[in-house]
Amino acid sequence: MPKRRFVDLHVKSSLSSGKSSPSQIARMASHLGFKAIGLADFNLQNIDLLPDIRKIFESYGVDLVARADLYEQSPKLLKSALRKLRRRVEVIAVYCRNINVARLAARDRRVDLLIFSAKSWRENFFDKSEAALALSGESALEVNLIDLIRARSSSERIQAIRILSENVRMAKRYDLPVIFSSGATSIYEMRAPRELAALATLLGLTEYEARESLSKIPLELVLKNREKLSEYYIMPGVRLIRKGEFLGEKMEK
Amino acid sequence: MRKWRNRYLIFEIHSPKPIELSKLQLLRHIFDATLKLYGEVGAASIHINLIDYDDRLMRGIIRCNHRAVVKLRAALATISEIDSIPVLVHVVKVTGTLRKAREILNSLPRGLDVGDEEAVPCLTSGGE
Repeated sequence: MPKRRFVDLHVKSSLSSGKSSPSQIARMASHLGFKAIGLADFNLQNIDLLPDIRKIFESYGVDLVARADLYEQSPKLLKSALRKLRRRVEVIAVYCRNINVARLAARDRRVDLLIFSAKSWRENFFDKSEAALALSGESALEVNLIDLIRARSSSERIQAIRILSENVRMAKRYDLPVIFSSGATSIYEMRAPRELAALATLLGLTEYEARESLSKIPLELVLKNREKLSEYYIMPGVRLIRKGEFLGEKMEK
Repeated sequence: MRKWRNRYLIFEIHSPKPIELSKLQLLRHIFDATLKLYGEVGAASIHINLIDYDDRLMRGIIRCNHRAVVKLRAALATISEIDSIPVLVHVVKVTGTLRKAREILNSLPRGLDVGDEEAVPCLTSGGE
């Protein structure tokens, strides 16, 4: 049986609001046994740094996934951000902070991951309609386990477990893919894959499902998006194999 | 009745600076974490026992019930700080015998050098 390739799709570095540098994150990820890390720092201002950061990660044997997190408060702004970023990053996650943004993000096929607040029920917009829309929009639910790790008090952790397990239950009911990430902003908030899987079992998943949510499901998402971003991609199931001639005229592509 | 079996978790603690922590103090932190997560009955069912702890290298061996490895891993993952210093408790390996666990513990490299002080965040835009 091939060895599992674990992925943490949500880590923030000092390129945005994180406390650790990309090289520290790469070193810790390699030590903890991750094969790929999603750095959620990228935007239009710093996307040019991507090749250099990718090299740092490659030197530690970790695959870097370029990810952008969108915090837009209105559907119009979200659409505009998606238009600008979709072709430049491999994964796009949207923080659903109001119902309009949540519904648009679930419907839009350019969105890969939906994130909902685990702090209060009022700010959690993941319901039946949202799950059904997300399924048709081919997006996945992301659960950030930092809400359990960083909880300051028992009541905070109890609330997070209740909200997140309800979201996971709803996603399972609609066959919506669930991806678990650390959501770490520092290397000391990162956790090893098996520890993250153990935390995921607190939310009602079996050990096997939890491991799949940390390896196979995120990996498939990244590979699918990488193929879409490649110059040979035309549409699902159709790829450009080679450039040739058509009726004596050389084709440009 | 099934035979009683133990598992030995080899763990290491990563922190920005060394933490002076005795074996007893660490055990108390582990008990607190399990107690918060599973309550008294749940924590008792894990059968936690801190076998070895090297306070200089901040690594050691915990023994637990073989059915409670996942529970203990989850509890260890919730330990986010000790004495207000952020920590990461990493389970390196799980074994079935103490002899093997000690072998692995002794063969671990001296520690992970994650570089200098934590980097200062340089907000560009967008991030929270």
